[in-house]
Amino acid sequence: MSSKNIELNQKTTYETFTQEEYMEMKEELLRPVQKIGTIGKLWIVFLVLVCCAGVYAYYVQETRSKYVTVSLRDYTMWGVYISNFVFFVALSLIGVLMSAVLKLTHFEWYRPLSRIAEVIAVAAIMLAGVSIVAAMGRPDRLYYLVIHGRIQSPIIWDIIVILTYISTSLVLLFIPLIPSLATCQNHLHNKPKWQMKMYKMLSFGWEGTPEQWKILKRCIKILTVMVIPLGISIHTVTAWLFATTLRAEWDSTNFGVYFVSGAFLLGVAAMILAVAIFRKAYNLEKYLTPMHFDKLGRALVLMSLIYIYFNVNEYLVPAYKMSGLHKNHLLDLFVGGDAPLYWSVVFMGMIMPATLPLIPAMRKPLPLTIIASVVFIAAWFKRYLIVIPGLSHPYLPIQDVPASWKHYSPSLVEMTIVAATFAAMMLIVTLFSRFFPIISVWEVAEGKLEGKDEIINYK
Amino acid sequence: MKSIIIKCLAVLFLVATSFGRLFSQETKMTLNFTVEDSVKKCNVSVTANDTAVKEVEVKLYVKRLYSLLPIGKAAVTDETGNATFDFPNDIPADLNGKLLVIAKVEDPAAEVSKEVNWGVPRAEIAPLERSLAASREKAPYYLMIVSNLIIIGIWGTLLFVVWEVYRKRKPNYSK
Repeated sequence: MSSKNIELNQKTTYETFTQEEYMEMKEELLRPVQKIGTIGKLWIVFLVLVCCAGVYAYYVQETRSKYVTVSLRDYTMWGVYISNFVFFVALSLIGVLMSAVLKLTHFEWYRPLSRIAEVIAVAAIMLAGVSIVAAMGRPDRLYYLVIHGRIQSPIIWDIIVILTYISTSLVLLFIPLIPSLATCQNHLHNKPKWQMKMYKMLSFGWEGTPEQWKILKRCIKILTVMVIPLGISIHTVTAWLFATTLRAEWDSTNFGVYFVSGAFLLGVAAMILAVAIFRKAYNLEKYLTPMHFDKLGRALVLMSLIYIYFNVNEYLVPAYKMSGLHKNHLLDLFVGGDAPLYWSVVFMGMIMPATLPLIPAMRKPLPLTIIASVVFIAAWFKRYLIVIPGLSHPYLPIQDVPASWKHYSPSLVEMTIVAATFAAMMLIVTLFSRFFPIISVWEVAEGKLEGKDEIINYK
Repeated sequence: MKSIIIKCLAVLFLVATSFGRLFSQETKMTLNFTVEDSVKKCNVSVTANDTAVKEVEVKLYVKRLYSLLPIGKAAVTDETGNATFDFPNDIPADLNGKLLVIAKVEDPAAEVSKEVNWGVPRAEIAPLERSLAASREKAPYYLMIVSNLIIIGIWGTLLFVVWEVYRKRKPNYSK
């Protein structure tokens, strides 16, 4: 035995788990990739069917009169497509908060969550792009936007930052995946040839040498630092799309932080839901523990309080003045036709998550998952309330407008496309988790070593 | 009493029909521009069958982008069928100072229009001015420099990271 191996064996006596336990961990985390059950297959078929319905609805929208297929009119020219776009951009910030921020601030409990957060971020930002194309009416407008777009326009900033964020998120998802790809190649069996070839090709010949680990960790660190300002930029620029438009209800200097804080709240709620689903569906109770729910419950309270603060700034300050421009919109939300939805969102989407998880029993997996589901739905309607009611009160109201201009309710075509974007997002996450380990084996193992050894000693 | 009412109605009918006949004949309007003692004047002449039409209300307008801008108050034609308007000196016009002046009689509907070089020419926008509101090619330098630096910085880092990982791959991994 060489002196290096003796030294390594001496080191391993201080480990918190053995090589055998490491192999067992690999087996458990690769199980969802190794075998897909009937329910798993049915779930994928269901999602594919909803996506197909969305594609057909888009075909109908593009081939028939939009006056018939969608409810968008001169007043409400931005409907559910744009509110859905804002929702997905907000959701994509999950990667920033649940992976990058926790990683850089050394909250060790991030380890099993980081890959889940990153894949949701990638899927969400892709579907945000799809929502924008659906809202454009004609897909070729995207091409004209690129060749004729002006750098002075916030729409171009949005396109640039979305493309950059998609690329960075994909690289940030891929680089920590490289050791896992080698693991897949070495440990999976009875898989199609193309799948094994894909693992081999994407793993870049990973051998786990100290130099490769050094480069990998350095690259992850650079990307983790870079993705935080990028994520904040993407949602701030989305907020500027509204704030730079001449509409009273969007005329706010608070909009950037208001959007980002709302995105962080949505990110925590989405993380709780994803953890609960993967935990149950893939039997990952050993890795996604009640401790994670407890921490996420506390994070939910913090993010809700921050979001409430920005909501107070956004609504109560203009309401105190009640100037002519804001009056119609604010009264409509507070006591008018949109009041039931507005107050439901305030209570369900902000006050409830800020208070209930303060009780320790509410931070257990089941109650917290229910709270997170409600927050998730309320977050979608919150974006609806930001985009749509304000458009009903234009700066220059026109007399005798058709009734369809004054009241917007999304058409069947619009709702089918929105449903399809959700199905597509879940399909991307599901398929990813069926081809790659959804929990990073090496990151979890590294966390268990608690700095006593290097992960490179484990094969 | 009855016969008096009938006679009055008959007279009214005759007066009305004679006016009707007068205007059913082709109404002609002409528009002339003169400058008297540095005051710009616009003269509108109304005739029907070569006869001057007197005491008819004439309105004067200038064509704007979407609608007509009234010039002064409506004037009534005199015995010679002429109505005169003082024309203002401060109406914005196109680059050449041209205005389209329109005179109208409402009953019966008749109008005449004529171009005159009496407007204030619109100042030409400097073609090389860079601003936030300008076209794609005229974006401000500071915006182009700052945005390109950010884009190059971020994409450069991203490409560097990918290159670093690719560089340290196993030499014969693809075989």
